[in-house]
Amino acid sequence: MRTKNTQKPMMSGKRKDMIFYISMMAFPVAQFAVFYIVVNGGSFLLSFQNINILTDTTTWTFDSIARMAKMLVTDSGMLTVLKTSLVSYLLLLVIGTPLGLLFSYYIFKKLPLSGAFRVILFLPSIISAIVMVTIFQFFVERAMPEFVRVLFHKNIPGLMENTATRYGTVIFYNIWIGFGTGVLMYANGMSGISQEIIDSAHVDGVTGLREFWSITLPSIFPTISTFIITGVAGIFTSQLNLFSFYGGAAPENLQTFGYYLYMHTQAAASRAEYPDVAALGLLLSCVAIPLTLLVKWAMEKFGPSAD
Amino acid sequence: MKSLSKKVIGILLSAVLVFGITGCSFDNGDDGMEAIDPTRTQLFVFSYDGGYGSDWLVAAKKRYEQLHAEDVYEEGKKGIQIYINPKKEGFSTVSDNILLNRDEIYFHEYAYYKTLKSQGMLADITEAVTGDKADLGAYGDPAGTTIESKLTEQQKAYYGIEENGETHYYGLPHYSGYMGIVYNRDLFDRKGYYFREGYENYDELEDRFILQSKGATKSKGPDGKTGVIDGVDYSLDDGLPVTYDDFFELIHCIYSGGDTPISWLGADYNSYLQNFMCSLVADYEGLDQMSLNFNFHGEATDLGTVQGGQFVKDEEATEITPENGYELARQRGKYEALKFINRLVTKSNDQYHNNLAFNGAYSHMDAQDDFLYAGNDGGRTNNRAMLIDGVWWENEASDTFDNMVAQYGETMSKDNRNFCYMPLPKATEEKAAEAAASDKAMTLYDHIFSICFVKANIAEWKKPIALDFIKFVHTDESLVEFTVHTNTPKAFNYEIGEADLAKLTTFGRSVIELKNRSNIVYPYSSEPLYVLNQSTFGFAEQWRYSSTKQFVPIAMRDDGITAEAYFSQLYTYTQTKWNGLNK
Repeated sequence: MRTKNTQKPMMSGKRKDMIFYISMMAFPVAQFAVFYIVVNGGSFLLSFQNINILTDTTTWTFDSIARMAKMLVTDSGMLTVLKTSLVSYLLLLVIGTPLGLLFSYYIFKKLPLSGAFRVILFLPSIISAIVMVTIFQFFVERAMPEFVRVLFHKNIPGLMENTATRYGTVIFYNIWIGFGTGVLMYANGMSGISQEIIDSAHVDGVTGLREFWSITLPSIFPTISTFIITGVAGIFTSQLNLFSFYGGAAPENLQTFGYYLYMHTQAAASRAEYPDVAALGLLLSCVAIPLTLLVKWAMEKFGPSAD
Repeated sequence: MKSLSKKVIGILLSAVLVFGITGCSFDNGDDGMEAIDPTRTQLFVFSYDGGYGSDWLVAAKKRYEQLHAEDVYEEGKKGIQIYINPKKEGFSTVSDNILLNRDEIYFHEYAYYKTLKSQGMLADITEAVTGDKADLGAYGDPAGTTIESKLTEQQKAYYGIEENGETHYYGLPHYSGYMGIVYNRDLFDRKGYYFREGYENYDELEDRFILQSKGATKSKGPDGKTGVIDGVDYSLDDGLPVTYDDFFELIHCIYSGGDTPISWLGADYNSYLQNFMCSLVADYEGLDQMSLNFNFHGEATDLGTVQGGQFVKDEEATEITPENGYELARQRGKYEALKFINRLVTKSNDQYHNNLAFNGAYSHMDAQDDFLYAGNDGGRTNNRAMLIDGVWWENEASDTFDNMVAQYGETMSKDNRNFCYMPLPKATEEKAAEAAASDKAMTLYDHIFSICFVKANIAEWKKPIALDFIKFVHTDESLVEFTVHTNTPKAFNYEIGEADLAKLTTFGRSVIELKNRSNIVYPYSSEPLYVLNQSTFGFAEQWRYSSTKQFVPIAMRDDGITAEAYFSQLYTYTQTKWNGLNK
């Protein structure tokens, strides 16, 4: 005779897993919903609005989109901004990425002072951006001219005051502070390479640069390609820390789309002034999204394989 | 032993943490950070602790608390505690949390009043500003005086909002922010950097200035008068430059005398110099013409074009409306200001200003320090004669004055040193003559958008207390007290008696004297075109040259754009952007 089990069943493993899963995912999902979907959805809607704060009314219109589209294609200033945005991305990519990889490789190989390098290179990422900018700016604007004066008896202007060195200095700063995350990610990627593969390569006489080129680089290519793809997606949002350096008065030849958008959003006096900025952001997204997908496709198609 | 060390370190760290936290709650009485007194009712007041500081509010707080020490606002409590929250947080940081924060009254700057109103952040404070209940007589003002009666017509039109046929106030102006030229009067006196009487008849520099000829008489200055006439002392500006050309001649004279003629900050030089340009334009155009830039209703009488370096005025005046407001980009005052600033920032004139004037790591505080220390640091630096800064500079530099007193003695104190606000020179001799004939010889430009308001969601039972405190800090006594503490005026009309004037520094007196003899332009209006596009009419945007250029100094210095080219393009771009404004 079968008897009914009246004892309360213990929580099943599946249910426990589900509770654990929900508790772990709730916060990131909520954050994604609020800070991505709601924020970007709001910006999307703003692009098609005309807001009157006096009458508290909103009308739907394509005016902002049309105005910003016209500005993008007819305003010569936008061409300068586009050029600076693209050149800056390329410089950070061409100079920053190889250097980041070399530093990472140095750290990965545990060469002398590699631990110290790891800390020094990551330091700018954990110190507040405004503190880093202030220190750097003081160094290049005040300290360096003073060194030159004392050592070479020559008066020079600050590196950011001087129009000839200004852009290079900003790019240098961005490469330098960009090392932190890159080096950390690349070095971690390298640490995942099987020691057996490296050992067998050594047995075959592979060392140094060849090891880096033929084993290390293909092994961490997914990480590199992630950085390249997110970099492309950020071409129109990167502001090169210009606001921290210059506030609202960055020189024209330094301005990127990221800075332009940031400044106009920051300067807006009320909601009524947001639609144009939102429309510009939307139009730039229309360029950035296919470009990003194209780069992603190219990376997957033509990039080296870890196999 | 290791374990003992760990324990000792642990105890030390705990002690640091505990004392660090409790250290914040000590009542030091003067800086506003104090413990909440559970026996009294609190009114929480936020004060932007920038150049003007919060000492003025501490003084008002003490008087108000004493006055209401026996009043009961809540059951079980007696008296009021004005709890001041003095922070140097910009308004954009503060504004997001106004309704969530504990603070109930705000004193701040660079705030868009109409935006805050549209966001539902502001409580209706009409009762404190106008009408029978607003009478400040109970606090010692002449009976019938209200806060509204201390506002200019322009301020009333902006802060007074029409609702259901009645005027409602949701905010008030706070302090004044004029940008101009500060000069070291002690140095000017010592070196004789004054134009002498009849200087226009001489060609040589040494004949045109007093310099070492101590017995020579100073010229009458921009106001064209000297001595005391009808109880007004006109001598403070004697010997000062009358026209822009005079000013640059003075600069050359000071340079020839071995001193640095003029200085300013390098970190944000674009903003400071551009604000200063707005002051020049306002002074040239006068109240009515300058106000057209914000209200877009009236006749523009000063428009023209530049041909071959000469300003050619339109034959007829132009009726300005919101549709054609871009025409104001052709105001002559703007061209004259462009020419002035071009002479100041052009690289060929670098010898006339401090060498860090365009250096991003040289702050406004650095410029103030150097201005004060220069010539007083044992010969390390040469004197600095003038500083471009706002009226708040002297109060902002209080710590530097104190440090100098500690180093060099009382002669270096704020009270014992003499700095003055220079009446702005005029662009032309005709303008100078026009100003000299007027009782309002100058027009000041108050760019600071200062504000005082009560947050919308203040508890109903507390609102009468907040309104009463608002009334209290706007009595003549409190306004004068503010001026005595900061050496700057509040943005209201009020008289300062001789006894109180005597408490001000030389600089403070010069500012008050200038204010009394000036019209004041506030760069705002209630015109819908203005309200819907407020940032467009700010000091930066109104000079926009292209989509990526809005600052004149850097455009002239780095790109070599001339005043004429800038003026022409300013009109073209303003006309283009007008079509895109919110309407």
